[in-house]
Amino acid sequence: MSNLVDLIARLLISALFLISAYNKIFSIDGTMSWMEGFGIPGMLLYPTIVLEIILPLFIIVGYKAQLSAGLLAIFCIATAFIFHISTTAQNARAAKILGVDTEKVYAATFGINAALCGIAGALIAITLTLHPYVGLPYTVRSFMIVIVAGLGNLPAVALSGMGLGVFEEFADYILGTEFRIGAVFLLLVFILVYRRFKLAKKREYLK
Amino acid sequence: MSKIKQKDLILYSALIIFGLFAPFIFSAYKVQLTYLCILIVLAMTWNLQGGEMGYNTFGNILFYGLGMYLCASVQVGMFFPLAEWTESGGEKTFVHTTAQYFQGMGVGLLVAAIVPTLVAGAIGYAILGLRGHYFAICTLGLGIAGGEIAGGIEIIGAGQGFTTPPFPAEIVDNEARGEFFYFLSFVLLIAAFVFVKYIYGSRFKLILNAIRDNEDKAEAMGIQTMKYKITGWMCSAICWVTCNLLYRDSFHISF
Repeated sequence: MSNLVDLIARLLISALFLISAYNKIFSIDGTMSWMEGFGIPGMLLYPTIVLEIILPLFIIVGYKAQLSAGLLAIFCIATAFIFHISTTAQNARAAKILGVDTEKVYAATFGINAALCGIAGALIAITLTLHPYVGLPYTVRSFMIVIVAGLGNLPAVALSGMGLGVFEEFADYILGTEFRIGAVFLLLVFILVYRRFKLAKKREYLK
Repeated sequence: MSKIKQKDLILYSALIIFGLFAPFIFSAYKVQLTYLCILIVLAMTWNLQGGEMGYNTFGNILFYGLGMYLCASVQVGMFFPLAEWTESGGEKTFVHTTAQYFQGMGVGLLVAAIVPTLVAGAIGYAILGLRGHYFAICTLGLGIAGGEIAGGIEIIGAGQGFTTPPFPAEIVDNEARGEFFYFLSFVLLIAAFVFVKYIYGSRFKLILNAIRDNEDKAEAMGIQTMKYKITGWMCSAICWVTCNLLYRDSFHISF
């Protein structure tokens, strides 16, 4: 009896992965571009599909079942970290249906954000004079850095942050200190407008 | 206009009568009443863009500021060298005669109404292609950039601002100044209200609503969304621009 239950459990668990592999095979292009949307190379899709077919089969057959199960567990945890926070960003309702606790994800994201901002604020306080109006330029600047880099693209965000710093110094030197902040905000407008025209060629828009 | 209900008619006439007598009844609050009128116009026209069209903008202040500086510059620059006026203490050297003051203000108003509206139309095509947060943040950036740049230009007073010409000294009645600006802004309020009301009763408002609700579908239905978006943005801009003149006249302009 317990053997039978075991078998059913194995079949059901394996079925989850097999169905997912099946779906991926029949929409390879879509899945690839979806993965690339998260900054993951699309080529990784092929090993993923192989993994999702072979390991469940091993579990059903019983060959190296423990090792296969362990590998699948690691795979699940890794994908959860890469894709699930983003899933909340893409479609909160669907994520909720799929069992992601969206409220917790929001809370955690906001918490991490607040903690990092607090650290940054403490560091700024060491080097700059403080006044209640330091905030707005930072808000718009940080938004701008992320827009230039593309949402969710971490290395590019770091790079574009440095680039903006360099631009500001050059603007200060070439145009004069009085136009320093103005130049930064105009750059924001120009970048947004440039990206808008670039996307408009494909009849798309920034969203 | 025949569609106005009788109840509304009574309300409107009551408000107009109140508006006409308010500066005499509450003569100590003339300046506040003037701002009340101006702020109502600003809110009404922002609603046209943010509420009806669904394009939340933080950048309309750009047109406001542009109109402010243009109007004041024209009013001064028509008769006196602008650069000397904006030097610190410069405004004390020159005095407008009554005719010069009103002439300058009229021309300034005209320039300040036309130029920023054209600017709104010109940048509208580029900016209104953005949607949602991107549009909001882009207009915010535009507004801040405008302010910062104005703060760097020497000829319009740079960081120390621009002192507007004082009300002509020949009109000795102290009450006249406040009443003049109050009634100017009150007339503007009525004009803007009629204008907005007219838009609300037209197909144009329905098109703006369609753009707000689903721009892609509106476009699929054959509405040239960009054309209407720019028109809506310009409608909003022109009211903001005309407001500024009244505001700036009681103030020292700074970015």
